[in-house]
Amino acid sequence: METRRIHALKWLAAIATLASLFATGCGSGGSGGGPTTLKVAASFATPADKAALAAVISDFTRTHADIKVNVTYTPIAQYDQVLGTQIAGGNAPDLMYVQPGAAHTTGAIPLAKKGALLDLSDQSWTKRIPASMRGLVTEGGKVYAWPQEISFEGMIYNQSVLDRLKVAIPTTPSEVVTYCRKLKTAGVTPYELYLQDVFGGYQLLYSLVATTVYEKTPDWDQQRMTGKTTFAATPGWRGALQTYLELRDADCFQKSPNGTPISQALAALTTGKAGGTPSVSVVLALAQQANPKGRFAMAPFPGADAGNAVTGGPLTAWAVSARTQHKAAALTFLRYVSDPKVNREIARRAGNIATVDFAALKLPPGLARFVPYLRRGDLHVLPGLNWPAGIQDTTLGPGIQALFSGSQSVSGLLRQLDNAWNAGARR
Amino acid sequence: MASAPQPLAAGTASRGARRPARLRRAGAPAASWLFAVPAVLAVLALHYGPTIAGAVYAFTDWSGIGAAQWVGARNFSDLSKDPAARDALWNSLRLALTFVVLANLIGLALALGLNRTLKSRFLLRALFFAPVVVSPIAIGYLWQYILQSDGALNTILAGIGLGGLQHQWLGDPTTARWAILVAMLWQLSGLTMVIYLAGLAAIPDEYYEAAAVDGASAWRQFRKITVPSVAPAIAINTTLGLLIGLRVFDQVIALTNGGPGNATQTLATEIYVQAFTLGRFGYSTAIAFVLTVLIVVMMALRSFLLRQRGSV
Repeated sequence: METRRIHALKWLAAIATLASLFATGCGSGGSGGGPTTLKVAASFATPADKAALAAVISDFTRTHADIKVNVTYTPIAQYDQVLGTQIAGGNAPDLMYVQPGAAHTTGAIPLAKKGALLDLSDQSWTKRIPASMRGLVTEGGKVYAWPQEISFEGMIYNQSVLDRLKVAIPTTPSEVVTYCRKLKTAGVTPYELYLQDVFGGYQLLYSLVATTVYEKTPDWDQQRMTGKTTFAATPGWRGALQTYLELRDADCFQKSPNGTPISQALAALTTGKAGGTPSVSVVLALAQQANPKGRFAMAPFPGADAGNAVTGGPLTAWAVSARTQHKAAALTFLRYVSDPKVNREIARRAGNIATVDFAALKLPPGLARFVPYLRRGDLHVLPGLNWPAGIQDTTLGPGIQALFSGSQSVSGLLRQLDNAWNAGARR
Repeated sequence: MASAPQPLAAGTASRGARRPARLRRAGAPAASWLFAVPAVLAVLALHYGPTIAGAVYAFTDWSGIGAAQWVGARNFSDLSKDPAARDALWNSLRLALTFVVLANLIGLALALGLNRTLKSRFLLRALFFAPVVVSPIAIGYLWQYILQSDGALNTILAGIGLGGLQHQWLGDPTTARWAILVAMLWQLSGLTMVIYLAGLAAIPDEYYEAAAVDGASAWRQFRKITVPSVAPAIAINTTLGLLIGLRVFDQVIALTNGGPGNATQTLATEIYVQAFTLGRFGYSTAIAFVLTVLIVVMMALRSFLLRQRGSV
């Protein structure tokens, strides 16, 4: 009798546990009239970046009481790993930042090719994506992501230091040499590089190849993809790398940039120990925040005496998981962030260029020097974004470190880049 | 007369001997297995099962997303021809072996110094052991601040008039490798010290007193008494050192991120790069497979060599 009662109690407990588990499972996601919870993964490059997104999400949830947003922020350096692991584990977030293009394994194009992203082509707001950037979020004619903001590659200058030394921002290679000499004489590092971080290596290079490669051959990436050209066979790549080393020999950089991380370079810039540092425009706001009393400006870095070009593009874009159970809520969120007013607010807070204002050339004051280039149509998509995944961070960045440590030659690096491209294209 | 208690004694002894034997044969093993089965099953299901299942990916082209295709031994064939993997393997071996030797030497020296004589030995032991409990990634970043171009070391060198010795410690491939080793030794020598201290504590003072009476020098006492007595500690420290050295990841990522120019890439960081930067999860699993085999081989070799010397 007693045994039977215990047995019955065990079954009851088991059924109750199962019932509660089901109830929990069904409850998340808002069935039964509760709010829908969107699981969101976002990366951030700077604290301002993170604060800008947090503020927008807060505004969104205030105006959309039926949607909750559960966001996880990850520093951009670790984001690939975090998002990749989530997707690989079948636990993709409903909404996620992806890197536009193909340069990262969790980029818009690789994920779209693998069917991990929702097709957004039928959403009217996708028409606001600038034509020059559309290819970075389009695969097979379908749009898969909304670029959040646009950044340019260039040189961030400490204008206060330059004014004190009565030196102008150089606009030609010969002016760069004069600039380097004057700053060096004054005991200020002309340009502080941060090659210890692999991405630090290609910042200045991308400014140079805007002119030496992409201005002459805007479809160079496509030509490389189809095998019509190679790094080794392109004089512009060789020339840009040689210019890089010539600038080193002209004392334009600190003694050994390989031992410098980005934190040290930004500290040197903002404290006036350096006149400039190469970076993307989103870092301009970071410099200003670090030294509110200082004046900072950003300018294209000249790759040739005349007819210079610049590179730029979106660093992040919003995408929706193809497996989301909350498609309507996710699209509501994307409709919200792609609204021109909200998009401008995010860009303003992060110190970047709003996607919706890009075509109209409405740039923040610190980026005014880029306007003539854009007006002429001399903007090219950031090199690397269209390359096979990983080449920038596993071959180009370390290769430039090796160039500076003397263990690699320009020809050797170009050969390595071609090998890495061929291997990446086969995968 | 005297033999009277014998049967009883014999019978008691016999019963006493029989009972444990019976328990061993029937009751005790059954009960112990019953208690052990859930734990064994949990270990098999949660630890070895996924590990073995994961190893299967070494024979696929899995990119981390979507389906995986069986590629046989192609990943291993690619691995044998991959110069980056070869460099990483060489770096791992060099780092592990150097770390084992130096960590043992420093740990033993610290243990000998702090074994008996110093009054402040307990405080010093705690100080030397303290870095062991700190996260390796935090230690890595700490050393980055010390060794970066405008870091503490170069600042101190300039401050004491030795500016000529300033160097880009993390920017030069040779010194960058040593920087990783220094960070590891700084953190983990305290652990080897504690293990040696335990070994030294077990040596009776009488051994040294007798040796001293016989006229043995300090060096001879060290060779003939201390070293043989701490042989088990050497075995433990060598095992731990090899494991730590072969798997080093955090310090490399924090200090050099594998640079400059991949000069400090190890097998563990190469696994990370292949999986998360290049999306080659299958290939990175193949590298992890090789790393596991390497660790097993090194451990077996260590056991063999130390057994030859009678240490284990």
